[in-house]
Amino acid sequence: MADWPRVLLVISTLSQVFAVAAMVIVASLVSFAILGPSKRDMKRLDWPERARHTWPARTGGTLTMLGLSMIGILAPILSGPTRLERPWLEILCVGTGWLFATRLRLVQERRLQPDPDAFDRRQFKRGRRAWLIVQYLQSLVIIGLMFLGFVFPGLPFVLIAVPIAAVVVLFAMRGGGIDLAKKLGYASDAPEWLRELVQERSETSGSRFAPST
Amino acid sequence: MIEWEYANALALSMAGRVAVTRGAIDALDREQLGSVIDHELGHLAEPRHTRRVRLARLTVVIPFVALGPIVDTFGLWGLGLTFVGVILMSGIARRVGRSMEEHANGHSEDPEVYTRALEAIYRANDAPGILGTGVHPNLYDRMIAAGVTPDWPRPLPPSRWRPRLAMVAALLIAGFGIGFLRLIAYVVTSMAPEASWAAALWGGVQPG
Repeated sequence: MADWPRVLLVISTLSQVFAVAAMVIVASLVSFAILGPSKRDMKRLDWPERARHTWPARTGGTLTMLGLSMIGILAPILSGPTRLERPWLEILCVGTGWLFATRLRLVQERRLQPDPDAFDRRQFKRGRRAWLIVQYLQSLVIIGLMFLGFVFPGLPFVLIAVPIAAVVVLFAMRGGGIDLAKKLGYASDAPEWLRELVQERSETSGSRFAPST
Repeated sequence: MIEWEYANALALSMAGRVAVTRGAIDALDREQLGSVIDHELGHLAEPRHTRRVRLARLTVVIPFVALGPIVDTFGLWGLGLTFVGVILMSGIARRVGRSMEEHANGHSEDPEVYTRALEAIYRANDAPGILGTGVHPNLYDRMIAAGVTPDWPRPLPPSRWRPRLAMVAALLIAGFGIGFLRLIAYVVTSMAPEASWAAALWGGVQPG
């Protein structure tokens, strides 16, 4: 005989997951609809005017991506079960918000290009990853740990997470982001002519430039 | 060299290293690239107190990893206070960032070449000539100050309300929608608190 309360529990929890995911998706769609692009034909505009129209869409798209992930954190708290009982629900909501908003951001970026057909999604994603690793490695790790802090709260988490964050900040400050990007194929050694140019300029500027390979 | 088609350059002042993107190499000629490198090298020559501020700016975010436990202990007040902290910090960071930029700008040997390089970077990135916010001054004003007359009219700044409206709309829709779900669950379970289906609607957790 079926265990009806358990079946109902599973159905209701799944329906909450889908409902929260649907809210995040609707919110993303509305946000990107407001952002535009506000001009239909970007190709006909000169760059100062095109930039004026594309900039709010790009910055707003990135803000929406971050904001909806934050809503993902709060979703399980608002929708019923507390995060302590359903940590996977939170992870799922954050994942849905992030995945959907990043996909929409790609669609939006293509529409913002002067020539949308020439837009290379793979190259765009690769460049974005490269920049995130080089410049925002420590921020990414801290945001990631912050998310986990909502899933696994308490003093033991803090005692583990804070030293990890400190080590990552130190690593990033010492140029670890560039080294990591190089290892992952997102950065490479500068060509000889560029290294010579930097060396030449550093000799006149009196800076603390440390040449590296 | 960073494999990114967006034209940009950065200095890692703690590590004494400079990085440029492939986009910057494609968009600039040798002289322009040299002037951008001068600027980044200027960051490496920052005085010790500026480097300390930079270090403090990076380490001050570490306590935010404990946001979850803070909210657990102090509730929404904890969340609110943390956000106030973030806003204050970003204000300080912007001010410090401006002074760092001014210091680095002093290292560009030829302001005319440097502003032409910036123009090429902005053009390649579709970045607005007038922004009105941020750490860097407006490109148009910088060019005029360097004695370069842009061959494009002074543009209007981009819309500031559009990204904010989009963000607020997204948060309101998601927030109210999720709050509405909770309200339905609460009302239904209040009507039949003993029923197993009511407990299931609440996700298996009886409302307190």
